[in-house]
Amino acid sequence: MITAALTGSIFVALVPGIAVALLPRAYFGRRRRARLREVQRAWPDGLRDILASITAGLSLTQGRHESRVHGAGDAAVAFARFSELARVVGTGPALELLKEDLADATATV
Amino acid sequence: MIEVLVLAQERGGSIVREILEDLVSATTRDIKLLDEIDTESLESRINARAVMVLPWLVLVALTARPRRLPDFYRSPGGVVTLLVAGVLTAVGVIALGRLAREPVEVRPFATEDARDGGHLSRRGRRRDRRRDLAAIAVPPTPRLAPARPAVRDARPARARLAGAHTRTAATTAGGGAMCRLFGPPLRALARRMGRLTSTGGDEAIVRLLRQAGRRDLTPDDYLVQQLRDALLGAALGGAAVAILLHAPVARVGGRRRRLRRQVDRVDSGGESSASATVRSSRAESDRSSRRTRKPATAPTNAATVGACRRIATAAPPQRRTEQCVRALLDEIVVGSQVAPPGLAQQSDDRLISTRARQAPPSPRQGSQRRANNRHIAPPRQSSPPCAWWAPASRAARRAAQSRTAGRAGERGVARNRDGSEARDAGRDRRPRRDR
Repeated sequence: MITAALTGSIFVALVPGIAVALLPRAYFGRRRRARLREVQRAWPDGLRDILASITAGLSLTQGRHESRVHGAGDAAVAFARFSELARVVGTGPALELLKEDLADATATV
Repeated sequence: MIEVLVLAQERGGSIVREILEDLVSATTRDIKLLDEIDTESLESRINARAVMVLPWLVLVALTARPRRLPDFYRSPGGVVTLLVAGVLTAVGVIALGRLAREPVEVRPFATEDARDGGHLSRRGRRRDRRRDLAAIAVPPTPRLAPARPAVRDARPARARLAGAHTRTAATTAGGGAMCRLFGPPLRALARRMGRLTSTGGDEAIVRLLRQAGRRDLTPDDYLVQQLRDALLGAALGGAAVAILLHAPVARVGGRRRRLRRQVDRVDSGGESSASATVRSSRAESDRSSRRTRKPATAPTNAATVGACRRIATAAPPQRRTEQCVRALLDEIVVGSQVAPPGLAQQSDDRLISTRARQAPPSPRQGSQRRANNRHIAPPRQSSPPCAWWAPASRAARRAAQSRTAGRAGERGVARNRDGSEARDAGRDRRPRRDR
């Protein structure tokens, strides 16, 4: 509408209008990619922590409880919540819930 | 990865360590490769977006100016041109999107139907059909992995533990669909712009908010609020300026400056290039600046026009002077529209009397004109109105000097070029035998 008022032609404003209409899609796509990349970057450190715990003689569940993902992003929040969930619902369902949290790439954890 | 951990949790054994080591190395290699791809494709992505966006920005900037271009794009030919350009842009966007798409990794544990058990109500099936229709235009992004049915029992516990933090972005944003669609991008833009102006980062904002007793605000909310207040203040200030100046701020001086630039261009190019378009723009410029024109210039222009008309009709047939006067008429005919009739007539009489004094007097009319011109003030000692008017004035002045010198010679007094009496002129001009 702004472009149409500025130029006085609807046809000139058609393509900029479509571009603005697709702006949310581009934004959420970018946010999804950023979040996936953040989760992906968090995995090697978490896996190394679990591996070190197993090497030290702890079980897999204890190792997952001790593992922490550093940072302030959504992935760190999801991993930090895993230990509480594992105590309440068990390790298996807690892993499934963690997977569900991390699968929705546009969610705010 | 979580599926691997789940399998390790269920099966256990000595292979867990080997699986985890392979997983760490594979993930690290994947991240390194993705970083390299991102870095190398950055320039291509910037070029592709610039090629798509910049022509349309230039088109909007050109058509926003009141020239002939907007008229062309309102015509059928312009509409066809725009439609073809839009189709080509869409084809380019689709082609570039497909070329730049990263291959999605196949997930062996994911199923095609992520719905819970495949049991959908009638309303759910209708919503699913609508989703399928929309998916023809915009294919949805597949979820990374579906949740197993056993997770449904654990979801209430997660909701109790996480509280309000487990809501998705679609549920946290209030308002209608437009707010949910355009709200997050606008809020992200506001946050980014607010961070450009804030110093000290989020920690400093949190400390300031805590000192101010505003514990209910997060740094992001504070930045958005700041930007909203700044925009509101700018809008109110612009409205106040518009009310004071009786015109939008962007239009103050813009149109007048543009027309004046056209007139200056024509003046520098000479009158030979003047055309009907230039004359109309000159008239428009004069009409737009009529309110700001100084009142003292109006009678002068009107007087010049009146004098030139009389000279062109009544003066002796000097071809050069007539051409000059006609050109002067064409030049300043626009300025004559603002002259008050009384002032114009008075100035006409003054200039006509000046012209009459410059013309060579006839022996019979000389005394009568001198008697008539006693009540008229002498002409102003100012520069001629135009450069090509000067030769005629100089010629008239030279003729008057020669006449004066002739009379002085008759009386035995000589004068220099500026009219002053020569000291020894009388002695030199007297006959030798009289000395």
